[in-house]
Amino acid sequence: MVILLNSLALAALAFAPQQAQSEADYYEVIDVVIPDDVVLEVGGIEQIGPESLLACTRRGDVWRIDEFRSDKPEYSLWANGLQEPLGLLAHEGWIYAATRGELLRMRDSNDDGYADEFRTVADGWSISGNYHEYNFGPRVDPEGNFWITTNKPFGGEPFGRVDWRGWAMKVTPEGEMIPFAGGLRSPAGVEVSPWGQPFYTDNQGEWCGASKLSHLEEGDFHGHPHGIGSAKLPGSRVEHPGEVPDGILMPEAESVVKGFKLPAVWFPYDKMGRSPSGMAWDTSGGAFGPFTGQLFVGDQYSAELMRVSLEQIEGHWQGACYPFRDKLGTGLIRVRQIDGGEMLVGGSDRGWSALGAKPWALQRLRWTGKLPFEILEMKAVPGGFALHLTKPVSQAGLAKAQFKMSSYTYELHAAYGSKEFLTEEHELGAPKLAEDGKSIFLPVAKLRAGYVHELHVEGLADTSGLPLLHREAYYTLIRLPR
Amino acid sequence: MRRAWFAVLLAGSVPVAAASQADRVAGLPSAELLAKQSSCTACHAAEGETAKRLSFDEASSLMTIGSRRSESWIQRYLESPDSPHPRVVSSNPSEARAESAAIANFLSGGLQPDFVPIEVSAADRSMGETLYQELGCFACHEDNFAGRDLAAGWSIAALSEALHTPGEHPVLAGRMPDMKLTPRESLAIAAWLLRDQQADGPEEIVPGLKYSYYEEQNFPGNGPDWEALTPVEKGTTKTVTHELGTRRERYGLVLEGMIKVETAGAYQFWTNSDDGSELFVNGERLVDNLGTHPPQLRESEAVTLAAGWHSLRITFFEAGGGEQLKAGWSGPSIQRREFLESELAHSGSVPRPIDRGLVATDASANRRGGALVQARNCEACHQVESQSDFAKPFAALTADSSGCLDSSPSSKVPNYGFDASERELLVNLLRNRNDLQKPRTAYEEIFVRMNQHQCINCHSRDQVGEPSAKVLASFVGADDLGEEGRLPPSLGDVGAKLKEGVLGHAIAHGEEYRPSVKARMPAFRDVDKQLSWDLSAAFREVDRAADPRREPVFEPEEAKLGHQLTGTSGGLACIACHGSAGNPSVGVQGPSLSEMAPRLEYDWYVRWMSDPTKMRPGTRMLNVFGSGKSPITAVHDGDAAKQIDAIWQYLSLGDSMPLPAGLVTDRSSYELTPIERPLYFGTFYKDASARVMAVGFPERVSAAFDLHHARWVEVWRGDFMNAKGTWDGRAGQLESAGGSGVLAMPDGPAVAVGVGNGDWPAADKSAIKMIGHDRDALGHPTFRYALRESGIEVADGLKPVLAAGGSDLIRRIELRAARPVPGTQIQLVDGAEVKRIPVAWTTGPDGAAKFVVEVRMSW
Repeated sequence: MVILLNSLALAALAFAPQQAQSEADYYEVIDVVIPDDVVLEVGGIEQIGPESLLACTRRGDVWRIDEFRSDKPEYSLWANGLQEPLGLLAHEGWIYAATRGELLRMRDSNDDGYADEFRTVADGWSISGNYHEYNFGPRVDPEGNFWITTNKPFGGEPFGRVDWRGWAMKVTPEGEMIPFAGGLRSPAGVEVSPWGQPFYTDNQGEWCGASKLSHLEEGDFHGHPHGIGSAKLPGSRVEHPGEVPDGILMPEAESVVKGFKLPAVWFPYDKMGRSPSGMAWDTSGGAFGPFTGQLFVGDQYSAELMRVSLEQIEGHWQGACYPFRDKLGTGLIRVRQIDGGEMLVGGSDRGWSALGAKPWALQRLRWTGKLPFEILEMKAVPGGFALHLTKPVSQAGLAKAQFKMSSYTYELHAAYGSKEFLTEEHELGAPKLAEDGKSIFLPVAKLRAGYVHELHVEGLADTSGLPLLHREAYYTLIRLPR
Repeated sequence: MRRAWFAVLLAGSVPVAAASQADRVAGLPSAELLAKQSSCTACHAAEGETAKRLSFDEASSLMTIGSRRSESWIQRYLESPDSPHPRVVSSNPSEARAESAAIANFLSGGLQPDFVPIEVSAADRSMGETLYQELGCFACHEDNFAGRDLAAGWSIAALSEALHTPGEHPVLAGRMPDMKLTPRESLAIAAWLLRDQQADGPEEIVPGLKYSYYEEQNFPGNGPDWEALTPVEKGTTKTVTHELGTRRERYGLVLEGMIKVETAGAYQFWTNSDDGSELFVNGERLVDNLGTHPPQLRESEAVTLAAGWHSLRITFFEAGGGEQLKAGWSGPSIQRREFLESELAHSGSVPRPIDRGLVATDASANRRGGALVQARNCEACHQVESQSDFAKPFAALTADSSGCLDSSPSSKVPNYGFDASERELLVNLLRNRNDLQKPRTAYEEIFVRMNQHQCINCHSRDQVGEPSAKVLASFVGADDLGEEGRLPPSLGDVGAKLKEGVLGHAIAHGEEYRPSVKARMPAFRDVDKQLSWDLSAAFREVDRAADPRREPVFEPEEAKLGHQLTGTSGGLACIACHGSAGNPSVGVQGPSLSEMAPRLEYDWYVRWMSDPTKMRPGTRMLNVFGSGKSPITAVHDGDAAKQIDAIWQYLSLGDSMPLPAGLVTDRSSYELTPIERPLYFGTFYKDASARVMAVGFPERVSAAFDLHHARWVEVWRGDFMNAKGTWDGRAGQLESAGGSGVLAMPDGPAVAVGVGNGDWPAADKSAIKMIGHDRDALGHPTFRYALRESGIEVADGLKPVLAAGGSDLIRRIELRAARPVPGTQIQLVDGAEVKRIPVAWTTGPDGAAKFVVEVRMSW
């Protein structure tokens, strides 16, 4: 009896270090210290010097933060009074900001520490006076075009219905506004990919069954009919899709609704946050860990940073999302990568409660240098999925693992959010390990186009016995690989 | 109260020596006061000025006393030797008992006092005890309601209502000033005063619903498990509302009770909430309005309910952003509407007035009681119009100790219990009654009125009176400001100190000018409409110097020096103890700088500033100018008189004064307060557009520019703006000017072409192209836009300039065009007047056209 107890205790000890691994072992979160008298509800962040940031806030302030990595950063109010700016961009000597009413640029021409010149770059849309009419951006593409997205109102419109809500706008360097894509709902993040193409994130709700990341292409209709009447106005690059059927499965919508664009990635509700917002590609070439070239997306509800890998199949960008780092300070609004490969995240939980503990926060995520054992990338291949790993596994290790996959899709409809439709479990073939031990081919029967393929991996450990840090991945399969 | 006043007088709180001295110079004010308090002329009719001077407070009508007081209470009130009422029953105890019982039987008329059940908690009583102490109730009620037996005489609901609106109460009207209590404060004080009443009876139907209030970090969209949560606060509410508890984000409510169905039939229930809510009737969930959403209506299917009470439960949570909870129903003869207060109730046990038991009376008691009321002439005081010839007119009274003034009065007359010195005072008054035929002198007015209305229970004044040592010791305030931070101010010199209207306003409406003094100044306007006029005029006549110093003429440069002197950079740091315009000082809280000039007489201010220690020994005010020289030598070479004047000039800007350097505004509040530089604020703006940039200048003047229509909307003085509607929760409210003295700019654009004398065009977004704006080195704005059709570029800027009574704004408009544009006009406000100005273009060598106009807006 005594012997048996001892051996159980030993077994527990042997596993303890592995079970104790946490995200924090690999990615450290460091607060940028915020003084008590600064309300830093971060709407936009930009690095303007090795140790200097600019942060704009939902209250309309633009703070300059010097020595931001120190225990006592210096805050100075560079500008104030902007109307809810939700994005900053330093570009060609100016600071650009997307505010409710305009894309503007500003600078401190006499170098006295206060912005003094404010210029309207584009203001070709209007605001009805609804709190939900936020604008996001700006990001700039290789041709010098600015990208912004306009949120649609939600509730009363005191100054009456206005044009161009729920659109993605391309603004040329000369200030011409090109209404590029419509049907957006709450497009809280917009970013230009390393290959120069714009993407945006949208929050689930009416006509947006699940939160998503979508590629922006000229003429797209992304599903929300609120502002699509503007498609008939001069300048629109989108053809009016006609009446949108209320209650149609997403894969069908693509063939039925003119111009309807399916997303690159759906973020299943509560499994991968609730309200995706700002995002940034890791272009650090390894300084941020093993995920170079992948996308990191913040969530305003779950106070977490999620990871996304993309691939282009049959001309459509699609891919998978993975949990990455949760328990951040507050609901995330912006994510930017700065010097040294750190990811800077900031936000506010005002108006929508968030899982973070603070009403506002600005934090640095730094790779500790320790390599996590993760599914590096889930890719669609003919007959199944390829899983690339950050570390090798052995054949014996693979044999102990269990794989489970189900798929489901969503409905396009007027009601708020969509449940998962037509869920099915997939029959899986025996996984095959590549020679280097870092890739697994998972044969899957009957892949379904237009469906999220949700993968769970249990019991997989690397050659040192370290289990996977995250065991789920969600692949949005829009086009079947051939 | 009357009795209480006697006690004060007899205890010598009114300095008899001072009063006697006063009597010699100005008649017999003490005796006059005593005659008023004793309502002598109710029985002994007086005429002319004498009647006016000896006028008294009419006592409450006896017709309705039965609906206010129980028969047993009336009986004891008349019988008790401690009663504050003049004794109208026999001095023989057993006769007194029989007479009191008879009168009580007659007066109560078989009525039961009105009773509204109301629940109170230990927290209510505790709050009431604190308020009673802090507000200074004890100053007038020093006798602690001796002889009144409040717990037997009043219900909590009735006392609470009487305290809230004393002017509407049959007994308190004309006696008790308005303490400006909120309904919550009134209830708490009533609960404290009636703390002997216990809620130990059986459960009964009590109006309103019980509520539990919860605070949580997160609420799931489908609502929490309420059973698992612990409420932060519990209470009752008369209506279904989200405005309970303290938070407006991340809170929850559960309302429980009953709903009254008058007519059996089919009913539909609804809630309209932001965020989620549910409604249960008889334990069944009829409305599911869960989820996180803007205001959303959800209505139940029809349910059939029998007539009578049904249990009702409503849950509500607010995760973030806007909040709302409404609920109601529709049914037989009820159109869809919110629940009425009368339909909601819960069961509970409530405190009731204590029943002291009734002395048995026989069938003849009622008749005997009626006869006694007539015989004792009760109606003389209690219902003046029926004054009879019961007693001799005042003019015919003999000046000796007879009748009421007899040392042991007969049972035919009321027994006031006068002592020898009081009797002597009144006999003396009768001897000198001719003096009462002249109007009171200013001094007499002050003496009589301050005593009559018990001003002296809180405020002292030489030769008039002062609060008792016990009362003085009981006032509550900031310890670190000494007695000045705790005591109601002395009224010596008040007529020289306060401006006329300010003094009158303080008496009529009460005021809380000293932030650290907790005692509350009541409003006397409902007690006596004339009081504030009479008393403030008398104070000024007695106190003001014959030839007061004249106020200096306003000089903006002097005001700027005064601004510097009050702040921390190169100044005297007045802000260590004095805040301004709603912003607290950085240390202890003395009176606010912005409220000084509008209140104080300049002459008094100069005397005070020159040597405060001399004027008020022991004051905490720094005596910086006492030596005639200021420690700040960089301003007027340290000349004290000149600096005192410079500060006055600055103070004279009142609510529109630029705030002194060093004042710290509260960032956690939503009040926007520019101090060093202008503040900008982008917001939705009422009656303008959803794209407005407002600018607040440190000079306490502000303006709003509509970026959508490219025009100034309005300018104003005082506070800039409150950002709550734009910064709180999901926000998105329409904001408006925060200050006062709003001057609207004329409708339409500032610049128009080809209008002539015709109608000015309306603002039109499509006619303009916004270019942006500049903020100069001081942060002053110039907005820039172009007229699309004519190509004219407009630069439209504002800067503030200090002026007497508040800052003005200088507006500069500069037009540029490639070539002159004929027929261009500008519409603007010059002074306070709307004007159209024809544009006289000047051209440069390249033919480019330019025009500049500058106006001063002063309103």
